[in-house]
Amino acid sequence: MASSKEQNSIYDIKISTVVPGFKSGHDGAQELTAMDLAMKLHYLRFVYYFKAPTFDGFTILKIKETMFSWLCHAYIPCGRFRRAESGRPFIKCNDSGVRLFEAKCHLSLDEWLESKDDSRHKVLVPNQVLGPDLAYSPLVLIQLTDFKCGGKSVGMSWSHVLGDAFSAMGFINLWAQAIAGHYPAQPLTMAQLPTKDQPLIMIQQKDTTYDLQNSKPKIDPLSVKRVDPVGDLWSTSNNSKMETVTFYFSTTELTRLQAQICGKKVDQQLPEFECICVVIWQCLAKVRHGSGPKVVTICRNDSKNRNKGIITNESQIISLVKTDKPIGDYEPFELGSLIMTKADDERMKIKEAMEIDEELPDFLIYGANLTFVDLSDASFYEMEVRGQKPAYVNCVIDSIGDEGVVLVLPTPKGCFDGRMVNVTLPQTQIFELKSVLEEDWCVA
Amino acid sequence: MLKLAMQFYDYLIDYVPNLDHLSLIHILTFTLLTITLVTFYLLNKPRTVYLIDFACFKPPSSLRVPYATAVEHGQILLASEPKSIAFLVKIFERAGLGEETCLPQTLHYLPPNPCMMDSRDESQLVIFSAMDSLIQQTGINPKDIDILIVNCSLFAPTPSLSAMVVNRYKMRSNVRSFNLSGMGCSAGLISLDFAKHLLQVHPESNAVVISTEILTPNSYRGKERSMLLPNFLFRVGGAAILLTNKRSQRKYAKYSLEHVVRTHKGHEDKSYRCVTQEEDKEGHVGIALNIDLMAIAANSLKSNISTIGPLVLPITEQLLFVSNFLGKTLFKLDIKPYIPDFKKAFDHFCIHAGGRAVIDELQKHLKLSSEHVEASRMTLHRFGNTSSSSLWYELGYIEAKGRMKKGDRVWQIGFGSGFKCNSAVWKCNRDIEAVKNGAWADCIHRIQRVIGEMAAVWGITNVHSLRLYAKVRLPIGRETREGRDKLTKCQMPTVYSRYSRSVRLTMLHSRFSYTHSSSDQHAPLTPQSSLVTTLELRTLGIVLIYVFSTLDLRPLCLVFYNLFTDDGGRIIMDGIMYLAHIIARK
Repeated sequence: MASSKEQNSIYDIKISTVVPGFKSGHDGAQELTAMDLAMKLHYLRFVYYFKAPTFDGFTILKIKETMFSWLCHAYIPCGRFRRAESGRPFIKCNDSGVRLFEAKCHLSLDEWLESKDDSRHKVLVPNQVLGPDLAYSPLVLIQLTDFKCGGKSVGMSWSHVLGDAFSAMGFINLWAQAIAGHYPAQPLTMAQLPTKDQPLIMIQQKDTTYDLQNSKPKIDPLSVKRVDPVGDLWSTSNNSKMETVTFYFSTTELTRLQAQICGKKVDQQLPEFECICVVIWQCLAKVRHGSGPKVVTICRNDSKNRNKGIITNESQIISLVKTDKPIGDYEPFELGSLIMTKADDERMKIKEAMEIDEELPDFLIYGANLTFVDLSDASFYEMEVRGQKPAYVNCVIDSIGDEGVVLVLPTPKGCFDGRMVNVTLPQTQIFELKSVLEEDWCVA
Repeated sequence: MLKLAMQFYDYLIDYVPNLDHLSLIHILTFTLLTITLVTFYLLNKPRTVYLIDFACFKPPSSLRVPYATAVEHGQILLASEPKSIAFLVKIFERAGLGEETCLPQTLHYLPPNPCMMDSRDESQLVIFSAMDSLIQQTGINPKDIDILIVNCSLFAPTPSLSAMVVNRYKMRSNVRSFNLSGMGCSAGLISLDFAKHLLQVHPESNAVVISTEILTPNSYRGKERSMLLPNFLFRVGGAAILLTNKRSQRKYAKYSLEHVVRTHKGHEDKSYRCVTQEEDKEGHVGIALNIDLMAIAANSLKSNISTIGPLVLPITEQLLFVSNFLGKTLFKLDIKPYIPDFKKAFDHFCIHAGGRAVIDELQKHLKLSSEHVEASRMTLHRFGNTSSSSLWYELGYIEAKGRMKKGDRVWQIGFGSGFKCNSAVWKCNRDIEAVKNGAWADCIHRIQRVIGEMAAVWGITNVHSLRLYAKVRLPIGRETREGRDKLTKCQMPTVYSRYSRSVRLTMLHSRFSYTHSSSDQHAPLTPQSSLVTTLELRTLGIVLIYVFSTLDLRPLCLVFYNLFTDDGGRIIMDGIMYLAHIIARK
């Protein structure tokens, strides 16, 4: 729980809407891919912290001016959802805009960042979800919070249906460019739907696969969890209260962990991300008394398939790692190599599962299984606002399944090079996880 | 020469004996009267008022309120009143406002929480921006401004807005500044009339008129439907106009002011209460619009055009009207009243962009083509209802389109609370080139597309039905795509030229459908009551001058006296000409 100190320090919240300065969307309809729709229940919540001189003399009017010109080049996230006759949602690019919250904080930025309370970031980013009034729910919400010292935080809530974390960063980085007066040649676009021929092939493929296993009932892929139809309120309720805790792994700690996991096999090295996965997976198995997650989902950036200026959910590899024996029985290295080698790309299966069902099922991806998301190569700290880079960036995924999500994030340059890990789990497991991590791996 | 002299001599010979018949006193009276009248006329000869230039406030794009956002904010703010909001959205859909209208910064908030500071901020933004552009366009030194009139209906702070302008531009200490408030959307023309009259008594002066409406403090926050409507229609805007009576400036001036006619219907209770600022049941202040608004507006327009008609209509139209009138009254013929064609008097029309309904009504009433009301529709589409400044955005539109040519006459008609209908007639002084930095400069090239888009969306090939386009609010969803497909297929310039041709045809066939209302027929002959009054008086005057000039001169004085209206000067001159002619023939 956030201590009352942090939560109560936010005051004077003003809400407005920023829109493209010129007619940009032309009321066009932006179709969504199956992958987009599979992600519709998830939200990414970013908080960027900027130290004092960054926003000095940059009044809210001027900030808004930059936003109005920024959104001309990124009008798709300004749209609103509508449903086609078939019930399939699409984005109507009607320039409805991005909701902007302005808030103030009694504390100084340093005080805020030094606080040990990991849920404090939550109050700096709007926590709205899409719906129930879908046609009037903004897809992106931004909160600007002024700290006492003159520092500022930029919190952005991004609907995952628009695209993954990298797409979201592309979107917000455009703003930083707009502040500097640089604009992209092309407005931000969304990944195109497969052309007309492709779905036909897909259907044919589907038919053949079903001929082969015709008697089998439809089974959802393991990487998704089907939830009760949510209707127009795109969020999920958890059985137990979820909480997020942040761990920091410094470079030295990471090398120590790598050494610990790999043991004597000097020739084989596990990358940092896999190490963290192994550590947390094993700890969590212990927390859950050995019956721990046998299946985990790994999400990685598919950097080869990622194009600049496109927001998409297609460029994130979602793969599944299955184990056949209890986690406790695995050697850490064994588990690590399993993640490295036995991860199966599930994207096609998810898409098929979406498309087969006419009614478009409501799926959870994050937290359907324990999900590790690799954002360690995300360029959070590359965003430059008026010559200043953010002092700290936090990111969590909201509205997830009960199995929990582990986000591996980069740390600010210079402070402690290493990794920052945001673990979101049911509240009851968090405390135990902390103690197990400390006992087994000496990670505080 | 010799021949002429001979003729003159003969003439004198013929003429002198006649003098015997007239007493000395007659001659003296006549000479004195003539001298007095000529002096009087020359002294009171109205000074021509020139419009050097004007500038409209171009709202920054960061104030934009797209249609969808306006509806969304409405939905959020009035979440407890789904029925009201559904009703308002329906009206808003058809209001004719486009996607790029702007609201002041404060009204972008949910909920808006305006304070005095915000209102002043908006005033400064609007007024100073417009003034800055005016100064830049004309190069006038603010110290050379002798008269300053600011009109803003609902925001009347102390120190006044005019004081604010004086302070900002460090104007002279003896500047005559005025601040008109509470006079509604037609106040722009009232300011103009005021300036005109001031310029009659202050020779060699420059006058600046600033027309605006400050919306920040006047956003209605209650739930009354009739009072919510203005929130949806009114948008930020303002204009600054530089007038002068300096003859030296004539060649630089864009327009000269020919007439300003003001009609005030405040004597009728119904008209008076038509647009009122009041509190609703919950104590929220707002502007309530009466349901009879359109009828009252039409009525006030009728009064206004009956005054302006005789002043501006060409003689053929007037003769047709007089013969028609005589036929009807004297010979009791059963014929339709002749309706003068105002398109013969004016080349351009600027109808107050109060809403789509107002423009539609006037177009129907005056039998105007789509092209004539294009400026009004486009202003409404691009800037919304900007209250008193809308007429200037329209004039700006015509200029930006490059349609304003030397000698063109422009008719500005404004409506506003009170209930008032005011109109002004301008004559263009020189061909006007489209400016590069005006309020319209960056969007004028898109207008053709807007018109085309409207046509394409509705699949109308006959763009003559341009009137429809205000109804166009793209249907939700897929239809939009179809519309756009059609648009890309459709050849815009071709469509547009077809439209112009059809407009020309309509112009040929249409007639002005103005009729007397029953109440007016029995009204006494007061100068404003009917079209007949001035016309009849003028004809009568000339006839009387002719008759009396041969008999006795004294009754003439009475006639002159009666005729001494705005237009009297010309009649008197006519009379004197007649007199001179008759005397000469004797």
